[in-house]
Formats: sequence, structure tokens, C-alpha cells
Amino acid sequence: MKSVDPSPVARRLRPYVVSADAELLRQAEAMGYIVQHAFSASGEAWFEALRALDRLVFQSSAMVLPGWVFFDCALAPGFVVGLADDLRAPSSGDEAPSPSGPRPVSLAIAIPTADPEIQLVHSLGVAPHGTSEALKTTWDLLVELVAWSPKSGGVLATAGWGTQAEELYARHAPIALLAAYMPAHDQPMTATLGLGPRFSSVPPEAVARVLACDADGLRALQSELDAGASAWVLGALAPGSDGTPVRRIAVLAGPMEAR
Amino acid sequence: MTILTLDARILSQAQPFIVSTRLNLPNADLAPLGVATRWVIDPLVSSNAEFFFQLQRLDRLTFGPEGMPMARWVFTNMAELPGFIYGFAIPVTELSTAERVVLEVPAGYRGPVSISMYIAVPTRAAGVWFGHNLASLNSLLPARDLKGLGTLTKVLGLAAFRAETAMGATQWKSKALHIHARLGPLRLLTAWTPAHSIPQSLTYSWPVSSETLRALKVGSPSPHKRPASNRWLAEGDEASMRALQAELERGAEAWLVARPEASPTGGTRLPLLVRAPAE
Repeated sequence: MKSVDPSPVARRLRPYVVSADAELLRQAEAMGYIVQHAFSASGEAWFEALRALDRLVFQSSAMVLPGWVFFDCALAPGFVVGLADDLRAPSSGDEAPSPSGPRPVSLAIAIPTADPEIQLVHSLGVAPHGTSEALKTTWDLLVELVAWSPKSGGVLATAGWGTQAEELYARHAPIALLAAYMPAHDQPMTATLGLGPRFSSVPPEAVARVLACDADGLRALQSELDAGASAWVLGALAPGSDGTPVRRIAVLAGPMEAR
Repeated sequence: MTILTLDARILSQAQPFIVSTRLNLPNADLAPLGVATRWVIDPLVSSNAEFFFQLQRLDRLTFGPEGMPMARWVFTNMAELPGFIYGFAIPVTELSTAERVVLEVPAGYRGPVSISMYIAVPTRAAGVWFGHNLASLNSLLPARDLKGLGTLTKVLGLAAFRAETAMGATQWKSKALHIHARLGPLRLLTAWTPAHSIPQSLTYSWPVSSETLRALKVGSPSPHKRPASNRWLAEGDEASMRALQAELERGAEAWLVARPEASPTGGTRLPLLVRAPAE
């Protein structure tokens, strides 16, 4: 088991996790996480701070989690992990701890899927004053907690093309591209990605090419996927002149084997 | 298996669908309690988009604009990708013109039209599923007399998901508690829930067994023995909710043992069984 050290991000940031899984919390606490049980009334301030952070991070993309969804579809079935500004921790010998307690500054949510080896990741974000390093550390924390599961084959993640989260995921290439364009999503230019050992094997017969992540390019690739093709993101390329994200991908005419 | 007239009437007019990714599908039962699933809908195939727009309409038509309808991205991330959506649909060619209008079916659509759905997501505990949406348009299709559609959808859905324990959250004042309490004694996991946007919510679980599901499916009482209550909770009594939550956090166990009922002093009260940790 590896412990993620958030110390390069900021002096007072500490990892936290909120969940209804008592065993996960016990393990996390032993690793230095701030922990909060989702079913405990003692966490009222934490829960409110998390909802406020979610609003702050995702309001601009109109993807704030409704309050009941935060409980029914995140805290109760899975976990929320992130970094908290631990105001209680004195930064030097003569500074008094703040009574207000830790304040979350980043978050990511993981919930199980019906495939016992796969978890779904969403709502990965950091407060506007946060850094890309904090975002990356949050992702690392999530990966660490996912890896604690006895069966861990990887994660599914949804992300808009060109967002911070998608660019972070692309750094793990090769990753499976399960959907390139999702018309039933509020933001159709959203990808569903598969990361981890179940998804990272690109067959040698897959053909590499360049994908311009604009609506036309994504729709065309989605048509191929609908027809039974498989695709992987191999990495990011320099964006086009209009800022359109560009990805190097590999496409196979048939279905991928998710081992 | 005995299928009573009630279920036969529904099954003769509508057939089940399941929404599942290719990854999740091997873990579903496609013939729950012997009822074959007609349509398997993959959320990652873009040509299925209209079906998902319909599910969103189903959600809105069931709960109304005040019922917190789910945004499309919430459907994707909280239903289609992690778990399953199970429900009943009718081929559009078998709907009357009036029904197509009521169900807001777009012109030119040729696929199945959903009339009910149950959504649950798996939790970190194996076999435990958290249900968060049960929708039925029975009331909009009076000529079809689909009484029991919501219950049948939930029962077959839980069987299709291979759930061993079902969880849910609702408000103490919710009318839905009258339906949930049919499932048998509900074990209380929270009684005051600040992690929910409405703290006056309870979180409950109940063991799913094929006997329970079959009994519910044919409209019989749950086969679970119902213990006697030893405490009443008035539905608006926040102090008692908080006190019960404190007891639960100290290790007590509690169940909602039967449906809410009218209180002799006015309002509604809920029959509980509370066991202290030492008992």
C-alpha cells in the first residue's frame, strides 16, 4: 500500500475521505486521511462544505450535483476523496488552531459499478483558487483508494473533451475510449474513458490516427464505435489553431477484449 | 411460477427493458423471476439517445417539475454507467394516438416507449444496491389498467440486478414510506441525515430474497415476520429523529416495522422497534 504525499501542494493540505464504508475509513485513517462517516450526524459541517465546494467547482459547467444525488449516488454507495485545508493544524508553534475545522478544496467521487472490478469516477475538480497540482494529487488519492479494493481492474470516467480532467486522464494513455460523443448527455462532447489494467492493452492490429475533438470528428468516431469498433487514446497532441483538442488514437474494427 | 391476473395484465401489454453497458451486462439476470427481458439498451451507443430522452421525460412526468427531475448528465453518471435501469416499455406502434401525445413521443420515433423504470446503483458492500428512482406512468394510461406497475418494476429490477440487500433513503414524511414498509421491517441506518440535502431523511435497508420478491410480485404481504414495535416516532418530531440517530451511532439497532399510521393525537406516527446495544 502506497501513501500519497500531498506536501508539495501546500503546507496544510491533508487528504480526506467521506464514505459509508467503515472499513475504507479505518484504512484511510491509519494512512493519515481525515475521515468522515457519511451516516454520522457529526459530519454536518463537512457535508455542507462538500456541497458548497461542488457548487463552486461545477456551477460554470451546470454540473452541480443535486443535494439528494450527492447522498444517494456518491456518499452512500461510494466515496468522496480530496484535499482539505486543515485550518485546525497550527502552521507554527505560536499559531492557534482555527475552530472552523478542515475545509475541502478539491474533490473526486468514485462509486462501484455492476462489474465488481470497475469503479466509476466523476466530479473531479478543484476550487477556483486551487492548482493543477492539487487536481493531480486528488486524482492520485482516488487511484490509491480504488487500488485498495481486493478486485481492482480499473475505472470508468466521463469527461468533456479538453477539460482539465480529460487532459489528466489522457496522461495515463493508452486508455480505452468507450464513447467519444454522447448525445444523451447535457454536454454531448463528452467522452467515456476506461483506465487501468482492464483497458490499457492496445492490440497491434489497431490503426493509429489523429482525432480532432470537434463535433464532426467526435460524431464520426462515435459512428464507428456504434458499428462495433474499439478505440484507445494514445496521447495528446498540440491543439489545432482554433484551440480544438487533438488526440492520437488507435482504432480497431472489432470489439476490444476487456480482460 | 404463478403469475396472477394482475401481472399478466401488465405483461400482456408491456415488456421489460434493461439499460446496461457491455461491461455490466454479464452481471445482470436477463430473465428475473422467469420474465424475459425484451430490450437491452447500451448507453454508450449514440443511436439509443432518444430512448434516454424518453427516460428523462418519464422521470419528469412521474415526479413533476417540483420533483427534482434528473439532469441528463446525472442519468449518465448515476444510473446508466454504474448500475442498471430496469423498466417496462411498449412498442410505439402499439400506442394509441392519444397515448403518444400524453407520453410526448416525438414524431418519427420507431422504438420502445418506456412507461416505468427502477434505478439502483451498487454500493461498496457486495450484493447491496442503493435504489434512487422508481417511476411509473400507470396513472397517465388509465385505459390500460396497469395497477401494480411500479411494484412489479421494482421487484423484477431488484431480481435483475441480483441484489441481496436493498438500500434507500427517503423522508420521514414521505408517502413513499407506506410502499417501502410493505417490503418488510426496514432496518434503519440513519434517522437524521445531514449528509442528505434534507436531514429529516432516513436511510434504510432490507434483505432481498426470491421469496420476498415473489410475494410482493403477486401482491401478498411480505413473508418476513413483523416484530412488535416498542416506540412511536411522530413524523415531524425532529428532536426524536436526532435522539434516535444518536442511539444508532452508539450501537443501537432500529427498524421501521410497519406502515405509518394516524396518531390518536393527530398527525402521522411510525412504529419502530429499537434495541439498545446491550440487548
